[in-house]
Amino acid sequence: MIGALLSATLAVGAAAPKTTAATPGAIRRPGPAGSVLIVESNPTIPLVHVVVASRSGSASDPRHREGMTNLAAEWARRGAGGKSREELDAALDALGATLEVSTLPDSTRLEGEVLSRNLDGFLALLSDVIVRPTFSTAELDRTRREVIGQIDEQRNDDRALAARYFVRNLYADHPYGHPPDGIASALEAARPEEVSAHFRRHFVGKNLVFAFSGDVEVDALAAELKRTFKALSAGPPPEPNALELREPVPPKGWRIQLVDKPDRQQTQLLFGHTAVRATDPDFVPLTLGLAVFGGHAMNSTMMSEIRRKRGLAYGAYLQLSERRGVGAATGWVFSGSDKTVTTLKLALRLYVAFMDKGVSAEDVAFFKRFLIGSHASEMDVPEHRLAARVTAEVAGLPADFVDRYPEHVEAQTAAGVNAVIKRRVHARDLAITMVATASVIKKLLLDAKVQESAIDVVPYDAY
Amino acid sequence: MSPLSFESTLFLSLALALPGLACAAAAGRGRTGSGTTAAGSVVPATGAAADAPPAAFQEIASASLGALTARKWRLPNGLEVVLLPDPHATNVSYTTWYRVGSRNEDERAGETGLAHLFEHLMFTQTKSMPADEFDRAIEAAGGNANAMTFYEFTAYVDDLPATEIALAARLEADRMTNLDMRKRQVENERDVVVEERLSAVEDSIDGTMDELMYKQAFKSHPYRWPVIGWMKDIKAITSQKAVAFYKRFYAPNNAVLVIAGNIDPVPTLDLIAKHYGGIPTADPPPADRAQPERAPAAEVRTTLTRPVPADRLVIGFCAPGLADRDRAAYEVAGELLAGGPSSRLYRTLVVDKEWASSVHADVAPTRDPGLYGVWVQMTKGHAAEQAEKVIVDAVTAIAAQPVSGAELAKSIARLETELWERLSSSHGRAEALGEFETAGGGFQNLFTHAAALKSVTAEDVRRVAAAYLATGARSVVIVRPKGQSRS
Repeated sequence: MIGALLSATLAVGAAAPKTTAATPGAIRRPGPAGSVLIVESNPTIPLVHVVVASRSGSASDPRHREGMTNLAAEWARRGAGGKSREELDAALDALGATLEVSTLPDSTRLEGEVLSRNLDGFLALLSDVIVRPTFSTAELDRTRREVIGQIDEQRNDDRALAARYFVRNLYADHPYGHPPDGIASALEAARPEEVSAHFRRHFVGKNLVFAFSGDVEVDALAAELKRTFKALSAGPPPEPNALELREPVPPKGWRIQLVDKPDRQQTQLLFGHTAVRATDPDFVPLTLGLAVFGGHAMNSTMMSEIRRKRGLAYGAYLQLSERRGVGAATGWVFSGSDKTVTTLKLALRLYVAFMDKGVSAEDVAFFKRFLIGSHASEMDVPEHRLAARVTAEVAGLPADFVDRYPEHVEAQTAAGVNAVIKRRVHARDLAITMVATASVIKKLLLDAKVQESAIDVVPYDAY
Repeated sequence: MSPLSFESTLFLSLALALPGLACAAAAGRGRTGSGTTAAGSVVPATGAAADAPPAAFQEIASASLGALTARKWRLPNGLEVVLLPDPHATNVSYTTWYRVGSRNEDERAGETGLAHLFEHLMFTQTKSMPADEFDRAIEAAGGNANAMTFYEFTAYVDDLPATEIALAARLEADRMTNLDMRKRQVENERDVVVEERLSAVEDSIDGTMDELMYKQAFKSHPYRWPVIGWMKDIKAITSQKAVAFYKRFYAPNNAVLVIAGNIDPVPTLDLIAKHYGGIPTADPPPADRAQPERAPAAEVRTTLTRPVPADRLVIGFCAPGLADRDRAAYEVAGELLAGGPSSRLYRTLVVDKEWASSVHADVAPTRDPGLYGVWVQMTKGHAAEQAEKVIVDAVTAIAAQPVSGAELAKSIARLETELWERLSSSHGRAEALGEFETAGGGFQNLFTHAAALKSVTAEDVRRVAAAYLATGARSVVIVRPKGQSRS
């Protein structure tokens, strides 16, 4: 643990950094058609970052239509307001603007950036996409092929591949249990009328968050949004996916999924369990506790023990996802094939010890300072700041959660963190996914006395 | 894909290949230098500071773009400092750039990878600080410490609360001169780099392709070997070689500090004078003998098989260096080819023909002529050669005929957005300034970029396309599917 690594020169338990520059204040007020508007004004750079988020993400995909929410948004982006896809692309590029779809489990986002002098033109195009999508059948077919092609492309990247399989291994048939971009067979089955209806149901004012950061003045922006989005329907907001509200079924024991890919010299290894909703009082103390174990710091237990002391891996992390539903604690490490079993055993042994013994007061004090300081750096990047605000908003957190995050962290105690670790960490019940060459790694696992029945081998291009 | 190699995944945003162009202003000794107005023109700088800086410092240059103003100073021991204050920033990015990278290695002696290994070794102990104390102190203060290596530089990046800048100054000054490497640590970090290389190259399709594209393009220039080093060389690095490398290249007269964020310049300079002023000047590092090589000289190609779902292609074309006068026009040419959804290649390959699922391109921020890589992921059933013909036809077309005003304006507007995006955080500003300072002819060239882009004409684009892209010379790497478990 960290405490053992601290030299005598460390002022253990010292106060948090004397001051941390405040995050730029955000104004939150009603937006067009019953939406929420979040604005941060800073004229230093003549650029505006924009996010318009529907509070419906891939968890809102209908059953057997995995990926439909993302497909619908991509389709809307490909032709709107009387402009073909090509004309819309050209109009955005002419403004020097970007506009891309990003689908997460809890939200679907249209994200972009634009030179502030071109903001009004950008808003007009954005409103076309949200309010007046063309929805041509030919374009849906082309979009569908493109998305399936991009899913195939992810198979080049072992890290992305591991994440794709891991969510299914962890969440099974829960709405969080499929990748946001979907499954090819489900995408192929989606009919035009159901896709367009899905979009229109979810992209209504009462289900939207408009967020802006940069060289923009809030009153002028609000007026322009009201004018540009006057045709936006307010709602009603869609019913939440009943399945999304359900508690996921946690894994029992250590469930190993081996994603078989030829010629691997290294193993991408993910492990984890379901944990808490972002609105749960345990969320912040658990975030702090897990940072001690696997935060993005060289002094976290994982980095210290796996990389620094033993040189087994280049990176070793564990973090908690911030979700409206039950998020996951997910560990990630990548290690050479010959070191995979050693690394896996070490990571699991460390995690069990973390669960059983908890963390010290020194660890908690150290990582409080780390999280609070890191937050200041994270908040210096407008794109990250905006993403954090939207994530908190769709997760149902208080409007000031991002700005007061340092206070929330500072308020935690070691005793409180350890109580939450006892309640929320399940180190003996884990979903484990490895992308590796099965003929090599499975033998090593069996040699290490892992039961064959606990290992599920799946081809890397099967899902 | 950028050949930049990062120490950890804490900051994965790869440095964009920002263009620059030669800045005629001299950045000499004394209180004269160069400045750039918001419009981007170069004007004499007054050099006058509102508050008096420490007497030890000489101001040697300044430049502005919009609300941003950066100024450069030098200490008598040769250490240079670039400051870019912003009272709106929530943190400070304290970065130290050593003018040493993989170009300073000796491939024939089997010594590639040494510059990059220092990304790791610099976090061990110094003569006055126990092992791992650096990370512990930075993280306890709420900071993140990271590093990156490129052909021309090795940079150490500390992002931390503004109140903790003194800590960064003390720790960075200490390891600039007092690093105390041990054999066991060298061996341990070597193992970590082996893992890093397995992830970034051996098990990465793009890493493998990128490495091959450069290797077959360059015959003698150091860009032919990867920044992370060849695997056999990494495994052969000894502590003796590491110590010699450190003594050769780590010194105040071979470094520049670039600090951006919520800082007050005068106290910051005081702090730097206090911590670095006593470090003696070292012997000048060995002269850089690398001769610029315009590569590739002809068509070169390699085809591999790997477990991929469909063909993947990269083509490397010769590109001007970061400070070359052709750079801005070249960037515009690259942007209109593959810079957005309405770019020529994306439109043809992804939208119209549906032969590809993605197209992207980048031009490396190299000091000498480097490569512009065009990456294409084919869809199943389509061969990489189909895309290669489309790309060759496209570069031939823009070399033959000036592009329209609308297409030119669109590409310039997109590049302007990219520039401001990069300058939207302290971290991005420090990184961009340091990159231009070490590889782009001076930090000022970052700020002249907006004006340089706006002055590019359709004829400029045609000319650089003919000179660099449509010559028939290209470095091609194709990966074809292998070992699919289903058809």
